[in-house]
Amino acid sequence: MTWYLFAYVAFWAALFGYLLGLSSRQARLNRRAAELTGRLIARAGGRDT
Amino acid sequence: MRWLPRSWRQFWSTLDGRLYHFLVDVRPWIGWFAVGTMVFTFGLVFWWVPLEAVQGYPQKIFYIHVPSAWLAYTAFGLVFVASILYLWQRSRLWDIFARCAAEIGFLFTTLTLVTGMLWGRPIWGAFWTWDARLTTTLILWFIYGGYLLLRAFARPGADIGRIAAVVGIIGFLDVPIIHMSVLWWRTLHPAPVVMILDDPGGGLPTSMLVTLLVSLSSFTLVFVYLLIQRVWQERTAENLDLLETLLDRTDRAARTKGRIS
Amino acid sequence: MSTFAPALAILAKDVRLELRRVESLATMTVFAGLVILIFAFVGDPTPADLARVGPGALWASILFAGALGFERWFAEEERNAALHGLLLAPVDREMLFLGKWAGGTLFLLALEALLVPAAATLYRLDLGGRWAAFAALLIVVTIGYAALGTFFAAVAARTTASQLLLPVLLFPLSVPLLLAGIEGGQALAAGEAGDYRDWLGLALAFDVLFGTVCTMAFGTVIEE
Repeated sequence: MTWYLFAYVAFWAALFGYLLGLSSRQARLNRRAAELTGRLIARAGGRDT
Repeated sequence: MRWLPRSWRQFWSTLDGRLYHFLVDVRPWIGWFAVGTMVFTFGLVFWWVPLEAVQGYPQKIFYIHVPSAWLAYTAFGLVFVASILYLWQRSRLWDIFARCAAEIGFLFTTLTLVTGMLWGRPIWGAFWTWDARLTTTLILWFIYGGYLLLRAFARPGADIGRIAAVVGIIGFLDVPIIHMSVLWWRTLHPAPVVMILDDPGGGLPTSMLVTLLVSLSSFTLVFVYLLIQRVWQERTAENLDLLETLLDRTDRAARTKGRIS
Repeated sequence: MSTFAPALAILAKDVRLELRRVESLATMTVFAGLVILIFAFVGDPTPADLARVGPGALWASILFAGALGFERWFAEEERNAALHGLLLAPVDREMLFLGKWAGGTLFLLALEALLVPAAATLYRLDLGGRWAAFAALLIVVTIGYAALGTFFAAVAARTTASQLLLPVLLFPLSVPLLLAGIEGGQALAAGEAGDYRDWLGLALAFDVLFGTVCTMAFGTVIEE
């Protein structure tokens, strides 16, 4: 019984660990995208004036 | 016949574009569907499927061990195919695809080994035996660990995608030979006593077979979701890199121009 | 023969370089000898244990020393951008690989010529006089290992940690050769001719497959 629960816990830990890594990577991507968009907008504003 | 691609290159670039964007669009649906089937699978495993008479509870590891192994081998098959396509087409998408498939395959190989060891402990009385299948899986783990390290340690400026593609092809070609040699190695020795275990495929009761099939499909969905998500992330990161260099370059150009005038 | 002239030229160059400065080959031999020494500490050195550990110790020392050598022989080309010169020469990439491969095989065989008698003496390995058959196995395994080693040295050279990465990439893929060497040798010692022939055949098939694949793929790896 314990080994079997162990295996399932290990499985979920690994999968959630990977998903966590995935979402942190996603957050980093979103931050970068927002920053670059900000630069694009600033430049467009600068050209208009 | 306008819809027919005029050449292979065009066919692949169409696939590259349309299929990729379609998959990226349906990605959340695949994700939620995967979560649903996963919950269903674990419901079946915990409450529905009967206990196996001889092994009891540890046999339930079967329902995560076998799908993990299946996905591990599928992933490395995908690395092989994507590597060939990358060397042939030189489309960035296949390079990214090969890398992400190797990463997720490595994850599932690890899971195969870990769940296998936790299953072996109560049934065989040992975490590990040098059985042919176990040994091959361990070597596979090392091969693709090396593959990922190779990509991680790439010298700046080196076209590591091309080199990794070659390694991905050679590594995959070697796996059957490794398996055969390890099989010979074991059979030439007296077989360990702990290896007396029923063949999991033969004579499986219907309820267990159904649970296994449901588990296989839900794992495959999770795999597909993870793969699309990773590929999309890598591709977005590359696009952002491109945008950043463009912005830097034009900013610098604007600044020098301002200084001159 | 003239088609292989570029490969032979590269081989001749490597041999001359190696003979002029024998340090690297000497260091490898000492290193391999140390591996054999360390393996003696693995078990109780009773004669039966020695005979059991011996073949593994011999092949492990060849494997480790080979990995060091391949990295070095390739790094030699990277120094002073010698590789750029070779790439600029109007020579097929396949010929470059064949030359380096032949060189790697030759140096490894030279190392083994010293190592095998030493291991046989220290571990009291007894082949029952079947030395020619063992030499054949040794040569076939070495050819395959040199093919993979030369190829992956070129791969590892494209990273910032080539000394670290070469064994990591090379050893798992060389498992069939290692097993063929150990098990084939033991079958020979036990007088099981059928098993010996099976292992020799496996190593030969490995040589043909990976010799071809590595020769074909070398250009893809080496080009800038």
